[in-house]
Amino acid sequence: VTQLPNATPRPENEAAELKRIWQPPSGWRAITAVNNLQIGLFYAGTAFLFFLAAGVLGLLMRTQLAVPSNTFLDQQTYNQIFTMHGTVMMFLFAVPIVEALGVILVPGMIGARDLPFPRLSAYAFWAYIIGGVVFFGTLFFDLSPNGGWFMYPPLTSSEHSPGVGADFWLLGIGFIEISAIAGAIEIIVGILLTRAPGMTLTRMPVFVWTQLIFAAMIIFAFPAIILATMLLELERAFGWPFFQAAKGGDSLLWQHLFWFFGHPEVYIIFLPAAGLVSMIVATMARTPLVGYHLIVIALIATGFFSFGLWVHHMFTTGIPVASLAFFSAASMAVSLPSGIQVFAWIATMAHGRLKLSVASLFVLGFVFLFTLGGLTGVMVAMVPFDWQAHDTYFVVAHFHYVLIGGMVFPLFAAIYHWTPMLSEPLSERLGKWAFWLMFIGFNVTFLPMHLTGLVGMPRRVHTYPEALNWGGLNLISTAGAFLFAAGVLVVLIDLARRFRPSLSGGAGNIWGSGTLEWLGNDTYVPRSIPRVESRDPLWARPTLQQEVDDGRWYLANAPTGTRETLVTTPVEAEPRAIISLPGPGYAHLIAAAGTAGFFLLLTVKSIAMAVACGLAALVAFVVWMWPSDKGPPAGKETVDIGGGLMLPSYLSGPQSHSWMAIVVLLCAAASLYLSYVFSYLYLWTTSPQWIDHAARPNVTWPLASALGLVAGYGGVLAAQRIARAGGSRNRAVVAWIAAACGITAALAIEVFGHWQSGLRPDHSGYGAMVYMASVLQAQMVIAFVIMAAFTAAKITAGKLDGAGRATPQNVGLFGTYVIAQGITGLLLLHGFPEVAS
Amino acid sequence: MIVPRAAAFVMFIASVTVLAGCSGEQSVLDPKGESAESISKLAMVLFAGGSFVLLFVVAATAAALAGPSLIRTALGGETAILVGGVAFPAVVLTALLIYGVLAASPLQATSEPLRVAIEGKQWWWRVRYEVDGRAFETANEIRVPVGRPVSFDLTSGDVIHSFWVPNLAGKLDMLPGRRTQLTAVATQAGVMRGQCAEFCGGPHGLMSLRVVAMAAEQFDAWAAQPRQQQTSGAGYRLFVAAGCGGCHAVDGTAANGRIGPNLSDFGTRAMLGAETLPVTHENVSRWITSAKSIKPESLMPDFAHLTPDEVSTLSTYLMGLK
Repeated sequence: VTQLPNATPRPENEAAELKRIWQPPSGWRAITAVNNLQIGLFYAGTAFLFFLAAGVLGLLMRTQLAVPSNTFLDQQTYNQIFTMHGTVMMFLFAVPIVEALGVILVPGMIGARDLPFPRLSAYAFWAYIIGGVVFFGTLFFDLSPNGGWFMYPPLTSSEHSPGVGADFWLLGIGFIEISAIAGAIEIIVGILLTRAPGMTLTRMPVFVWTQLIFAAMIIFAFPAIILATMLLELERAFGWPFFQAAKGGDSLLWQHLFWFFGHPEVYIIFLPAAGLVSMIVATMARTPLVGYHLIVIALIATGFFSFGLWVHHMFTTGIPVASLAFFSAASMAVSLPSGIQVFAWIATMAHGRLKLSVASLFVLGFVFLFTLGGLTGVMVAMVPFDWQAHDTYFVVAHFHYVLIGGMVFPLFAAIYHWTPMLSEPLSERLGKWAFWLMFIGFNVTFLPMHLTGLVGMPRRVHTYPEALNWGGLNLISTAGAFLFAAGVLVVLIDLARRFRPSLSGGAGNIWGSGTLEWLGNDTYVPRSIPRVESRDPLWARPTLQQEVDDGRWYLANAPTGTRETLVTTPVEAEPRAIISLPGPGYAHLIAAAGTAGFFLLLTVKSIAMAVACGLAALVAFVVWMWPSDKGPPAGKETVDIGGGLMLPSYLSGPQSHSWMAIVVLLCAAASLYLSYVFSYLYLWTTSPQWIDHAARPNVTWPLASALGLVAGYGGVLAAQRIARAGGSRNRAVVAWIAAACGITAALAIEVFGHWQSGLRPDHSGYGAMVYMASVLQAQMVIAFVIMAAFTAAKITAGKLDGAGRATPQNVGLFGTYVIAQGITGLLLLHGFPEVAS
Repeated sequence: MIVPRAAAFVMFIASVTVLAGCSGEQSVLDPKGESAESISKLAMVLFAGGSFVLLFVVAATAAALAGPSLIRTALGGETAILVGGVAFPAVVLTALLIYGVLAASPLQATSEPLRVAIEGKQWWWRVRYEVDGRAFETANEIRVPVGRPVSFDLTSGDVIHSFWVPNLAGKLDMLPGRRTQLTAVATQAGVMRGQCAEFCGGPHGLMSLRVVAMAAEQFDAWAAQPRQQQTSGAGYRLFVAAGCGGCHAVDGTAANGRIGPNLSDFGTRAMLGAETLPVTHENVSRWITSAKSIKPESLMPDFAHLTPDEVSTLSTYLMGLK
């Protein structure tokens, strides 16, 4: 493009108008903020505090283990502390901080003004901080879980762990995962629909690629652990024996579900960190990334492979060697994409000249530590070696190399690299001190641990006898841990002295980076949204910064007078529309507090209070959603975003961001249901008599239930037809009521059918599994009924008049899924036993 | 000069512990069993290979940063990525995988294995032998013959445990409702220490065991020993009167509890409380009166109401069970 869309000078008050519209709430009202930079900073800051807190727990453990037969911590406290260290690091630090980095950086990198659902990321953040603080606080009341971050039943069953600690884990973590899924939906839709014009998929910065894959992996991996936590909580609270071998359950089912989530989790954490490294290396070497395509292929391959590796956490459970060989091979294969990335970074450094900033040092440290951790990973992927190394300090060393080396070092690199975007830069002098302390401290801690494991020290022991001669190695590790902590302390001092984030910009592009996040200088980052023609637009077009700041590019104004961002097509990023974004508010805040209260109060069995919180959350959701989907502003159905480019100001149907969000949400729901189908079939394989044929209802029950679903589908179709044509309000309301009734009746018939034939969920693993299908269906039915009622209410209030509105379309899509899931359940529960017998 | 001295000190400590550690009673690197030997060889191959690859990556990184321009040009393109990141690991890993699958194939028993059933319990091990049609039970100490395959049938009585004797073989989990099987051959006589390797709650760190590998003839003689104990004497009467038999069995007597360890050969054991304390008169007495402070959460009640004389009588009785 040589012809810029807008001419200068721009209208006098245009920039001031943008500033006014995007004005962030200040003072105590900052809690109502929804803008990605503000929420992202809250989010990252909170996650970083959890990193420090869980780090202190690590130091306590190292202190206890420094000498043999130590009594600094007793076994009960130690068990709680190691459980919390792992849980907090994984769920309250690693995943949230990666998501926070996405919230901060992704919109800037893709040239969007904000994420497409600002209140959703604010909701996810508030749910996370409330849930996280309460969860961590259990340590101070001796209420923490103590069954390990992996929570293997039957140790975590109500028989062997009677207190509420395990319930805090199950409900607290389950709930924080729901918040992670909310964030992931936001990131996926943001990346696919709100990139700057011309930023095709192959021009996306690598970090954005990693965020896309990260979020997709969350959508497919987290439901497995959500299902597992539901099963275990139902077993603990109501005695549904999913994991009790004596009653037709199996403890290994938990391990399959946990690691089906748990292994991708490692890559969920690592991939975005690798993305940060790719960006820092290219900037610091001052050359475009060598092997961009190879890296993107490697990232996608890692995402796929990571779902086929989970059994390598279960090599010692007695699974036949032949099937172990498959998972061993897959575990080794996943090192190929990592190899590609390592050599791509080396190639980029060789192609350019690496400036040795603090960020570069952390990146180089990362390359060394991650390679070492990857190599020990290959070792434990060897089945016989793992039989010895599994659950010893060798594995502790291995995964700290991969996680601290692979994720924490890039995170610190990112802190030093991107701080100038929002604040004055951090000190390069202090940063170097921090790096060397952390690097040396890390290796002194974890390198000897490989040996500690091989000379026989298992994990998760609170002490060890002197006679085994493990004292020296442990003392070295403890010394190293404090050295590492000293390095982190230096960073804290540096942050305290210099980190003053300002939403109106920091020191600017001091590293001479080529990507768009460095353009912005206010809350509404870029002043105008440029067309992108290369992977490093600031390098390809040196005048770009000036043109953007002058408002020469698209959307230099706010044509509908609200917060807006540009919607582009998913692959080619051609402009499609602009969407209006919400500003600060309280509804999402109350909804988050209510949801958190609901789950946490359930944990301590305060049912009435929990229900009250749940209702408060529900009301807040309605208040939140009521004003949304306003339709196009009158007289501004299409607006000029610059250079005469006219775009619609409202979207509905499959092209809209809300439709895509529902699709992604339904992917998560389908993934949850598939995990359930897996669980059902898995328990079936454990015993030939697993299915209780005597307690199966006859065929009229599933047929009646299916009839209800078909009737519901008729209602959904009718409601859709009326909405498309903009037909009568009353008929639409009737159609929604019919849909809700049909689907609800189908569920009731299904449950009653099993009940009348004598099946009970607490009598056998089979019974529990059968009723579990209805539990999963019920949560979708409840959500659908609420949505249908909400839609009917909006129709009645005249808020959805006119054809082609998004709300009925999206709710119809959701309802169609619920019906499909119901049919699948009927086929599994009534059809499969026929085939299998 | 403080830094070099400190470094020298650390090196000294490290080398001492390394040397002391490798030849440990619970060390992977000091194999005394067939599969432990092959795994220890595999470990050495992996260490050597891994170190080589790490050095290669470090050298490539160094060359990329500060190497001569010829090398940097060679490294700075997609070919280098494909060679270093795809071709090289693909070849090495395929070779490793084949080696690993072969090494993982189960031991071919050359003779009928000795069967030992081990049940993991919070926080001890029930050990049950079947030798020549005669079954007997013991706990926490497993005797095996050198050179004869031993098949360990592993089960759990409560939560998941993992049976791990590093000098002998790799670990295998003990799962409720399942039976897993580990076959091993001890190659030399001696004492090996094992430990539960799956977190099993409470004093998981104090759930260890001992394997005594002995010459085959010696083992046969041991297994053929009569285990019936006398039903007379002050110690025995006190043992029964105090209710010990509710949980513990002593073969041939009225004590036939199944909750805790069988004590028929207690006097021959080196350690008590699953390797928590050496068996001495004083330790056994302490264990009887205050097991819960030695091993918190253990299911052994504190018999604090017994007089010191009674405790001493009981200890003497127990240590006499041979």
